[in-house]
Amino acid sequence: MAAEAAPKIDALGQFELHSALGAVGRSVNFTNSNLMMVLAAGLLLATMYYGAKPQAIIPGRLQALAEMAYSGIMDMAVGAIGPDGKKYFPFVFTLFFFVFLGNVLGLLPYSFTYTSHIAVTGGLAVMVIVIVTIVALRIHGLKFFGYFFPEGAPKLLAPLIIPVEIISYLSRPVSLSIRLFANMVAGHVMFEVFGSFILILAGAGVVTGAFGILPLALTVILQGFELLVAALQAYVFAVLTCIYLHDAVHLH
Amino acid sequence: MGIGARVGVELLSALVVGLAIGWGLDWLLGTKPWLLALFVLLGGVAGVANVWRLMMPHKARSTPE
Repeated sequence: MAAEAAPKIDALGQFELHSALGAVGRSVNFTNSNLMMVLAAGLLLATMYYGAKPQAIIPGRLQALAEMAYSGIMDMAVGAIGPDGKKYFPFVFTLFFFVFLGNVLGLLPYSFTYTSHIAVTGGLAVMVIVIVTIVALRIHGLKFFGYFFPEGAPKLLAPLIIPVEIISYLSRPVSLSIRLFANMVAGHVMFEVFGSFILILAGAGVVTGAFGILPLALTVILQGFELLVAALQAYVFAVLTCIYLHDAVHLH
Repeated sequence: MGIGARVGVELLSALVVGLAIGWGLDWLLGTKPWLLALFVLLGGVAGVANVWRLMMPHKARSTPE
């Protein structure tokens, strides 16, 4: 009796890629992940376009949203990078909202969280580190390589310090991508597990079925918590990008 | 969450990078186990350095000596 159609916990099935948009999507390998990325980019562009359009002195809701997004990221960029942080504002802004919308849209039912794939977060992190290195090389030229050997350190330790500093520098994109990816995967696996508990308990009988309310309540709490994590991880990603840009501009 | 997870991620990522560099250099130079062992150690050191920087960013910068 218990064996028939017992709901299984398939925690990782939600991260599988499928082709989207029917036959056209299948022929060009357009996946559900790509669909969500296009959706997020479109949503961001539409919000900023229609938010900036009215240019009212007393902003409406959409304009207030767009202005708050703009000034919030601008404060972060200028605060973390310095007065010339304005130059890097478009990059930080795009990065923050691409990650943020990916996290938040992924919380909706039937959607897909593209930030739960390390290929996506790794791609973003590699882009960040390449841009940071290019910025540092453009501003400081070859002096940038002095970054790998702090001034005043004993020359004798150079063969130890330089590889360690290089590894430390290269570990930035890895930690940046793992942090975001792991947070997203962990949250969605928890959703799946607690969601399955509801079904398992409800399917097990009348008495135990009443206990299904407990994982249901937990899932509701978890939804709020995941909303916090979604915003927080996007913020951390953007702030760390700003800190790396600060290091690149000022070289300590 | 919080500071513990960040420390873990920093340690792990530096180790992964050290592992990858050692593996790659071994593969290039044909010195099978030795550079891997060396760079894993260096990766661990870099991880500790990362955590140090995470925990006391101002002290590490203001005292060069």
